Amino acid sequence: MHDRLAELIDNIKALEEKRSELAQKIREENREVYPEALEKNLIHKVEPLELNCRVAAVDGGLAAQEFHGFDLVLTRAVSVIFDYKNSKRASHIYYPSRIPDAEPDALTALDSHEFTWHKSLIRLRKEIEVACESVEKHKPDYILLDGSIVPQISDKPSEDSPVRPLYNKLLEDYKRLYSTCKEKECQLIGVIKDSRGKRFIEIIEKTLPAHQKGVLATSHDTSFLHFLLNAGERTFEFHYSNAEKEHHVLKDLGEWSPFIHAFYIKPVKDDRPLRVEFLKTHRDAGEVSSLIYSLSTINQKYAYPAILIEADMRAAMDRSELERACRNLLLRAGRRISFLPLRRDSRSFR
Amino acid sequence: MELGTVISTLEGPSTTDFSFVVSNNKVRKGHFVQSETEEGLLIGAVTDITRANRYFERAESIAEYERGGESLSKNFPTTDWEYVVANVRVLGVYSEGHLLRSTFPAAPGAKVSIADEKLLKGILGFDENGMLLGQLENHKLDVKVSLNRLLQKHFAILAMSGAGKSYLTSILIEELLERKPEQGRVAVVVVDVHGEYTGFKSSPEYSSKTTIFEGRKIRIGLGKVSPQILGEFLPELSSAQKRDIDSVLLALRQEKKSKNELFDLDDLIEKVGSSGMKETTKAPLLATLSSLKALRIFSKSDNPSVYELAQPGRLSVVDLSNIDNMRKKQLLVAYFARKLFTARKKSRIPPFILLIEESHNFAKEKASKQDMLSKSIVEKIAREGRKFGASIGLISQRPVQLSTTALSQANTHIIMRVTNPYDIKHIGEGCEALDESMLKSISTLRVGEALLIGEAVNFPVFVKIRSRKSKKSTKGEEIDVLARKFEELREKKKADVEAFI
Repeated sequence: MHDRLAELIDNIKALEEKRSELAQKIREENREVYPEALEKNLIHKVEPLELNCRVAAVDGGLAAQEFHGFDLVLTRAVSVIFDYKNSKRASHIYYPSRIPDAEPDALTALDSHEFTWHKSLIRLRKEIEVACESVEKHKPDYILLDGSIVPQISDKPSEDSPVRPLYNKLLEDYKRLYSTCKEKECQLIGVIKDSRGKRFIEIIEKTLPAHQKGVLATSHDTSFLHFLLNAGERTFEFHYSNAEKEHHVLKDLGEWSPFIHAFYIKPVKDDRPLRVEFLKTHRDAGEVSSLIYSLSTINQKYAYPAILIEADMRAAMDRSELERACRNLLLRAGRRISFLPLRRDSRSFR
Repeated sequence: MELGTVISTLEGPSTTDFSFVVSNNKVRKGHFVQSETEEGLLIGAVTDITRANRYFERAESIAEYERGGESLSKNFPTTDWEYVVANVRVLGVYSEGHLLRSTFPAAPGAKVSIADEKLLKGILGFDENGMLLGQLENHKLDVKVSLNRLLQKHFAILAMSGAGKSYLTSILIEELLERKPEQGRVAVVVVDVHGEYTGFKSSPEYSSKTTIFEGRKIRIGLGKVSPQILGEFLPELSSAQKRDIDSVLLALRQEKKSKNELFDLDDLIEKVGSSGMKETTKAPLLATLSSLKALRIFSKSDNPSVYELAQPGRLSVVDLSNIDNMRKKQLLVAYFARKLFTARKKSRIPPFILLIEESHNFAKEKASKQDMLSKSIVEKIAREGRKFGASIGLISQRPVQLSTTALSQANTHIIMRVTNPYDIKHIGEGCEALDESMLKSISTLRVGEALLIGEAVNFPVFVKIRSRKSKKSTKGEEIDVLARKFEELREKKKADVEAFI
């Protein structure tokens, strides 16, 4: 066990050294043009921004419980809106409220994959709905989502799945959000804190000789970019996908897919880079990165916008909320076969 | 005034406790609150208040966000996350003028408001015609305690030095002196070891009702001392010595009685000297009596008499501040306390309250025989005084050293600030009505605040002691005032000397 762990550590150390060496070479090379990059130069310095604007951030919470005859899902989404004056948070409001009620939803006869999709789609729909309403009602200059601004491939059910209609509705929600943001001149931004994306590596790989590509094959964008970027720097801007029409999700977003852009930013020295996606309607990567940088540099070890942290805390579902909802349900429904807990949740001696 | 909403927790609401989330930050520990229930109006006391905020739970995060010198609240809406929960101990359910035992808990979601002060007066057992001690902490309600409930089963004032024991005692004395004959007046005798009550003599309102008995002039009439009491005064005597002196004393008494004369310690010493007892007994006995004589407290008659000492509606200050010898002080207290009690038993004097300052020095829990001269009579009054209208007020800064027998008979405790952990523990052990939360509060009481607990009130209450009307004795003056006075006096003396030269 100890030997194996020591071996693992050595391998990771070696990999990190290789990433670091390659990153150093790429920085020194200082290429001006990269294929598929939407800007010249690999690395851009981010200018801090004096915040005098209204920023919204949306996050959702989810809790689920499987019963013998149905699956219960509770979701909640909240939008936190901060008004900044001279980079200070001057005031804040919440939409729809400080602690919105969790919405219950139940589906029957789903297999475990479908249940997973169902949960995720319900939560996403709630988040996008709240984001959209928040833009309409409170007219922020920026709206931040906790995560991507497009659905993930893992969220897309198969064609014949009973939850596919839910996915289709979600696509409509996203499109409504994009058009609302465009119309209200609100910049839509997605901040992905633990991205496993490899899009950036795919781009720069094309410029590297074969012997240098090996280390990238075993890296995510952020694990490599940690060595490439210094604090206060970002990558060039790039499209979410190089083949929007073939991409599993982007192709479903129709005319909006070319407007989904992304970049990586490293706000502070001691934390990893963030992946930032944005809808390229009004502002460019420079402006968006300045905002994210200014919102994220308040903690030298945890670079993440304060407003998203607040939204996460507001939206998080407590285990006790689910327990209360289940108790309430059982009290009202009485003892019915559908309401029995799963056997694994009601073992006799454990 | 609405204060919050009852919440459901793992522990409650129960019939004994509940918690409520605070909507009005005016709520304070010790507040009396009420909430409507199916049984009637539930009355409780706030025992503790906790404040929580999720943003400030993780020290490392707070430190990291504030490293740049900016407060966390600049970037986060931290105040929105704060909530306050108050824990309440249920006192009972108010129904038809009575407080009944609660048999059904408060409902989660029910509103909690500050207790109606008119109801509170009755619930807490205050007496409209009682003694005004001050105001109920956090409420606009006078704390007036019934004379009978406070005095009949004795009381103790326990606090560290400087917490306001003498101040509170002065207020009690004022209240007793202000009573009218039709209200029933008791005699007040205070054993004043530091001369803190002499200010009553110079207070216009109380001057005519106050007599100061200077310790140096107080005398014990030996003729009134029984052999048994003399034995108690001389605990170092052997049984043989006690037998011998008893017979000498009895003989002396008969002889003087037949001649209608009084006698003093010199007479006794002379009689022992001329008696036929063995030299081995006589010599040490004479030495012991001589040591007693050196105290210079024995005379042919009592001064003051017990009738002078105990008069209805009057204060007698036994000022022992000029006496340093502890044995002498104990002898005087032992003798006069016994005289008062005996006279009261025979209804020769009015009901009295004997206030003993530094009572741990007069009724020590653990002491040598020589140091226990007054303990037995203090304990006796504490045990038996109630039946005869003889009340005792024990005032002490070291409750742990005070006789547990005496302290346990004090059915009302007025506790002011105490910080010594041994004393706090001792107070807690000796007073079952004190819960953990109240015990913790004792060390945080401010000067002039007291916890009143026991017979005098139906429930423990925190009291803000009222201002005194009587003049403060110069003995209790602040150190800077004393220092200033000293220097002024020295300067004056110097100037006088220079003028004389």
